[in-house]
Amino acid sequence: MLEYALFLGCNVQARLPQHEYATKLVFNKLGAKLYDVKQFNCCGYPLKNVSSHGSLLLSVRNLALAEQRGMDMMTLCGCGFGTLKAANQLFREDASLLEEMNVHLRKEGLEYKGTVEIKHFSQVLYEEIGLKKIKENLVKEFSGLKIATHYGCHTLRPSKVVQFDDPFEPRIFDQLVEVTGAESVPWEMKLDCCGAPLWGSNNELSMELTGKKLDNAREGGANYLCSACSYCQLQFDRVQEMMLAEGKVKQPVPTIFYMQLLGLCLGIEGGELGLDKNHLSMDGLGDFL
Amino acid sequence: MKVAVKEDTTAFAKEIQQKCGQDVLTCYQCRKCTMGCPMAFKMKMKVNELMRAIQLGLREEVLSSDTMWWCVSCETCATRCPQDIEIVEVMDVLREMAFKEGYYIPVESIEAFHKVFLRSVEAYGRLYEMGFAMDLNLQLKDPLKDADLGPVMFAKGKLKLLPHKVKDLKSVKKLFENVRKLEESRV
Repeated sequence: MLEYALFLGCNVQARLPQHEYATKLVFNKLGAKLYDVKQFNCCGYPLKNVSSHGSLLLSVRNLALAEQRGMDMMTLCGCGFGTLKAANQLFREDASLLEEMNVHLRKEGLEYKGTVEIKHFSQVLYEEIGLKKIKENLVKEFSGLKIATHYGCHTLRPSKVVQFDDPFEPRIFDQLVEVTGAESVPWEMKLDCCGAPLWGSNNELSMELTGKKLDNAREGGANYLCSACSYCQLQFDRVQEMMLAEGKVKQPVPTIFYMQLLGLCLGIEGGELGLDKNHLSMDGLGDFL
Repeated sequence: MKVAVKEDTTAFAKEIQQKCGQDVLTCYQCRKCTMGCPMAFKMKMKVNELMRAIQLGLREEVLSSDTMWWCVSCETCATRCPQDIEIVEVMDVLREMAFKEGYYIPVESIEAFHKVFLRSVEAYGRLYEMGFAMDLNLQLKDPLKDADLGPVMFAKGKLKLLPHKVKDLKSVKKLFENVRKLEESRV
């Protein structure tokens, strides 16, 4: 049986509780077990700018906690995925760096040896569970639903570190979306930044980047956006709602988290998947099911 | 700007290489980084120009530039780079250096954001949304910014009045103490 320590990161716990329970319901249906590790801390990403070693220490503590439980980690957020993957690679290449980290970890009875693998949820779905098994479990499929897929920067890049998919022509997440019967439409700005890193520090600019992407997705013919990263999902959902209120977006392109999209096709109720917790209305989705 | 090339102008590039392993000296100015950069339109010194400035040893100009403060770390530049320079790692190191050496940070709100985010992680192990928002507003001297969003988010179950603390919070605090000691010993 597939088992993973579920790494939620800060955003899901603070702002997107529906992602946590939608994920657990979907993986339960597909026969994989996800474990909570309450001791997990921040992935280290926000510390990178100020202290690279501080960032690595936060990462290594998470890795050590997973290793202690003999489990690999699965992430819901692209940023957490990229940060932990990069840190893990460094520890595997540089034994003296890892020892430097372990000096600190030993103070609380932890140690990291470098055995943990980090997977993005879409890798687990695509590589471990497989499209075939997902398809067998579907009880309904979308028809006529056009989706602009969004991977998120740190899910894809740097590709040598994250080893996720082709960084210029990724297909994994598109195939996962298409297995639900939806059509993944081509759009030019698919791989661009969503604007989320600027939120809080420069909201105007953040909205400018988001607005460009939304326009582009709409021009591509998309009814909905679907993001492989929780952080980007938050931007397209919460920030788009604010932009609508301010008249910065004329016509919305609502966004759905992948676990919710797949969950609906697996026969899980919208309420259980927390569709009503999304900022933008998901009511129109029913027309395509 | 005229640059007199004298002594060892590569010292700065080597300092960066020693800190993050990236050899900026291999950049040959193809400009693919800048062409793909979603933030280039904001930067006074574009990414390729920053690389050149590092090569020329223009430490002051580089550390006081706005380039790395606009960078959103999307990794597009690094993915496009034919010389495989992990440019974002260079940006991280430059931000760290500018921060530590007390350079004026041209995008003021970004510095406040970083500081406040860290405080939240240090105190609770993870981000505490409401405390974070209030702290940031105080830092930016705009205490009621986005205050109207609070009740809406609370109604949707998105805003907790109390933080989700990490179990075993002491360890995270210890970790931060260690980082501080580590940083001090390095300076």
